[in-house]
Formats: sequence, structure tokens, C-alpha cells
Amino acid sequence: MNLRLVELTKRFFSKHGSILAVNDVNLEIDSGEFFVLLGPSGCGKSTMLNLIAGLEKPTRGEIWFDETLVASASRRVFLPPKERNVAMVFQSYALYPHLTVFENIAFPLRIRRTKEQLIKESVQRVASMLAISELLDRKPAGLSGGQRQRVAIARAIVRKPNIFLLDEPLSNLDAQLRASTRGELKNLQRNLGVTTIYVTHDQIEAMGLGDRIAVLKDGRIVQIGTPDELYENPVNPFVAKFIGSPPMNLFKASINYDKGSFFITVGNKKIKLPDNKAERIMSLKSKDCLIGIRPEHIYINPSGAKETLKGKITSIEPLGKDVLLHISIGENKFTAITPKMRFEEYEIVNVGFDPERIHVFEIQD
Amino acid sequence: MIEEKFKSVIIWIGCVLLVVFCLTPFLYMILISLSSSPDFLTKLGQIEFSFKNYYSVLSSKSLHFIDYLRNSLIISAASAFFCVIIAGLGAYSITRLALPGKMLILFFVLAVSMFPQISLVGYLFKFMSSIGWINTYFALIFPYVAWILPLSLWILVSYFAQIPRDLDKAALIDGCTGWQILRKVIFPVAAPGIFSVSLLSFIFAFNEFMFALMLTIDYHSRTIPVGIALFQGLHGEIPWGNIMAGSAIAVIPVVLLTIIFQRYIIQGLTRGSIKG
Repeated sequence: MNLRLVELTKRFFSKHGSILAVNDVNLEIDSGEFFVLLGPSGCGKSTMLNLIAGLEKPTRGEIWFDETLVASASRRVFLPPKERNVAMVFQSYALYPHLTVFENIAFPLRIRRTKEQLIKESVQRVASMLAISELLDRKPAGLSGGQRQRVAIARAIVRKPNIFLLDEPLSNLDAQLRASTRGELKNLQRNLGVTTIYVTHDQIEAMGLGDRIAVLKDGRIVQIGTPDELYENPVNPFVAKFIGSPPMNLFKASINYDKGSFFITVGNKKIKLPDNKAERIMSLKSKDCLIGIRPEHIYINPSGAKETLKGKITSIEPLGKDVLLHISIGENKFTAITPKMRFEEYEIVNVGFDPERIHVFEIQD
Repeated sequence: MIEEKFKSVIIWIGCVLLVVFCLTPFLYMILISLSSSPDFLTKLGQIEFSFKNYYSVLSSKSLHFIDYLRNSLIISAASAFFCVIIAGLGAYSITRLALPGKMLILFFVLAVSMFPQISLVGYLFKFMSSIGWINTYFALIFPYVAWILPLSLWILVSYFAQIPRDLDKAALIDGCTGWQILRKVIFPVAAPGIFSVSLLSFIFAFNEFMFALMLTIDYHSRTIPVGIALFQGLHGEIPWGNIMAGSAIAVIPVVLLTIIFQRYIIQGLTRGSIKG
């Protein structure tokens, strides 16, 4: 099912004034797509999910499921969750503590007055799909976090929803389980082919799961794109810092024009920016800008590099195969990821950039 | 080591004293009720066992003990039932709806419950007699429900507030209406609270004396506490045997209910908030 959000806005009112949780969001999600809403806490991503689910009414704007208008503030249309056939997995799992696993999964079917035989078949089908068949008689209190999570997913998919909503479903699991569940979740979504919207603040999850990702900030969509697009071409420093781990190095610099080329000065060295950045640089409002370079695109003691700078290693974090170096060049501090070699703290090293990999951003307030 | 032993001995002695203090009158009541020639402060050695007091209380038509017992059970059960329903709905709306001035409502309710019972009795009598309800079950059920409601509401609000809001959301998405959420999720999850409130309301209504004394006239609606108090004969003779036997029997329903429900209540106390 295709999902369309048109000028969607949600404002919460409280004693202390009002908060714009979702601000004029326009978005189209294709049928069968795995779509991720990514953003820091308080950016409105969960509110967006609640609006789609029908748990909140929009202040302005419309929500369309295919050709059906499910919510519109101006036309006074609001379908309750019951009539939208969406399923949701919560961060807290929200299993019914008084019911067994079987009854938890069967709950949405019972509310729909499905025939007993069909309920039994459906529950057993999804239980075996998620490998929880032997847990059906237990109560949620007797399950581990990972098992509860599977039950929550089983309850969500048992009734074949139009849209599958996941609100940070992995954040209560330990790191190892999180990684394996991520893979399973992706496979499950592929097999079911259900349009899925996944909310997270974890960019690794977002990159690993999403066909497309929308990065949100303060209730607005900052950028939408595939994981690669966001990684390669972030539109602003916020996205640049949010996507990728460790985050992109950002520093202020001023751009100079000399003999038909653009230059920036780092330390006491002039670095020529590639000509294909010219258009971007011309669009900047001032010559002062933010320069971004990812840690993995900084090279330490490169062989035969043209442009290198002297930098001092301030600390070293081994990452196994690679090593993360904190380097200071003049006043600027950088992080760099480089293959493991012998480094010493306070060692002076040659630092090289690939100018093609440099990002140029407007300075934001 | 010695200090710890000493401590546990002290605790034991304290517990035993407390239990003896609480249970002695009760045991004395049972003993007297089994005595063939009961009198107030009979010496224990002089008691001859017999069940004649129980027999007379249960079989004597003029004492109406069975009527009192029936009235008490019906009135208490009805009060507990209505109390749970009304307090449940109230607690649900207070914890779940965006109601302005929720705390104000709760504190107002609490303040009302602080009135002494005696301050209302006169008015209540006039009111009940003017609508012709004196000596009916309703005359007692209505004031009882009103009287227990504040406490019940507070207990249930605290239980319902512990239930994570995500459960409501999950139920909504699973297709429940507001009523279904209450019936299929909130009430069952808050079962220990519901049982506590039912039990408390039942016991209150079962024990209540003053309203029952003022608002009932005869065995058609009179409850056990009043009934037993009025066993006293016309000429001032006190039938200790009947009183004690009646009291002993009156204890049975409450003890039974507590034993049946205590499992759920304790479960609720120990399990605490359940992480969904």
C-alpha cells in the first residue's frame, strides 16, 4: 500500500505554550518499501508514526493510504486505527501481561471476531515463522527481551496489515541480538512485502534496514534518500554529522578564489577544491563555510600524496581491524579511521585528504 | 551472631504479642459461642461445649438471623459491585483522558470523604424517608457506594496509572474501542486493584453500623451488625450465646472472601508494575 503525507502538521498544546512536533511534512512512501524515519529524540518521528497509525489527529494536512483519505484536518476526516488496518510494534513491546503468548498474538484476530479455527492456524503460522512456537503457553513476564520482541512482531503481522509501523523496536535489546534481529526483520519485510515505516535514532539501524531514509529535525524532513545518497551527499551539516560513525569532521574555513580555482586554508596549507564543487561553492551566501570530511577519507602518512598536512595524534582508539585517531591540525581537531599500524600518542604524522571527498556546507546558526 | 539471634527473638516476641492481642477477643468470642451456659466473662474452666447457641441462632424464626445474613450479603455484594464499576470508569477517565483539572477532581473527592459519617445521617434519613426508601436495600446501597467511592477511586487511579500507555495504544491499533480497552486490557491487567477494591468495599458495607441502624426498621433490610446488636431482649437480658454465635458466623463470609482473593491481591503487591 502506498502512503502519502501532504503538508502534515501536528501541534501539541500545553500549559506552557505549544510545540510544533511535526511541521509541514510532505512525503510519499511506495508500496512494499522499507522506509526509515531517522532523527534525534524529540524530532517528531514518533509523533509522525502515531499520526499515520491514527493515534493522533493532525492539526493540518492530510494522510492518504493509496486513494483513501484516512485523515484530513480541513475536511474533517479521521479514520480510527481500527479502520486503517495498520500494525505497530512498540519500543516497550506493549504485550498484554495477563494473556499468554498465544492469546497475545490472537488478540487482534479475536477483536475482529475471526473464526476460532482460522485464529489457531494464523497464530501457529506466524509463531513458526518467528520461531516462538514453543513459547505459546507462556505469559510475557516469563520471556526474555528478544522473545518478547518476537511476540510483538508476531502480533503485528498476524492479521496481514496494510502498513507495518515500528517504533524503535530494537532499542531494548543488547547489541548482539540487535544486529541479528535487524537482519531477520529485513528478511521478514522482504518476504511479506508490506509497506513498512521504521522509526529510529540509530543511524546504523537506519542505514542497514532502510530502502530510503528520511532524516528529521525539529519536526521537519531535512533530507530523504537512499542510505548511499545520504552518506555520499548530505545536504547540510546536520545530516552529515548524523549519518556515519564516527561522525563527519566539520570545520570552519573560508574559500578563496585564485587563478580559476577555489582554495581553502587548513593549518597553513592551501588545499585546492575540485572543479566539480564550483557550482556548489558559487551558491554559498558567504565565502565562510563549513568543510566536511569523513574520518575514513583522511589518510595518515599517505605514500606519494600531493597534499599533506602535519598533524599531532592526541589519542588513539583501537577498533580491531582499524584504528581511530584523534588528530589536531592547528586549531582544528579531526578524527580519522585508518588501517591498524603502530601509532604513538603525540606523534606527528602526515595527514592527507582526498579533495574529491570534501563536502562544502553553508554555515548554519 | 548473638546480636542477630537476639534481634530475631525480639521480633518473634513482638509478633506473638501482637497476634495474641488481636486474636484473644476473637477466640474468646468463639469459646463463649460454644458454651452451654454462656455469660459475660465466664471463667474458661467452667465452659461446657455445645452447639446449641449456633443451632438457636440459625433456626430461631424470631431472631431473623438468616434474614440479616442474607440482607448483609446482598447489600455488601451490590455495594462492592457498583463501587468497582463506578470507580473503574472514573479512574479510567482520570488516567486516560485529557481532562482539565484532574487533580482537582481527585482532591475534591478526597475532601468529601473526610466528612464524618454522623454529620450526614440526619439529612440522609430525611431524604430516604421522603423518597420512601427507608427499610429497603437501596437505602443502604446508595450511601455505601457513595461512602466507599473516594477510597476506591484513589486505589484504582494509582493502579491504572501504573499501566503503560503503550498498552492502550497497542489495543487501539489491534482494533479495540475505548470500552473494549477498558474491558479486555485495563480491567484484567489491574485485576489485583479491582479485587482489593471489591474486598474493601464488601468489608466496609458488611461492617457498617450507623447508616444501617438509622435507615432500616426490621428484618426486611436490616444487616447483621445492627441485627446482632438488637438481639438484646425487651427486658434488658443479654443473650451472650446468641450474640457470640451470630458474630462468629458473620465472620465467615469475610474470611472466606479474603482467603479466596488474597492470592490475587498479594500477587498484585509483589509483582508491582509489569513491564509489557
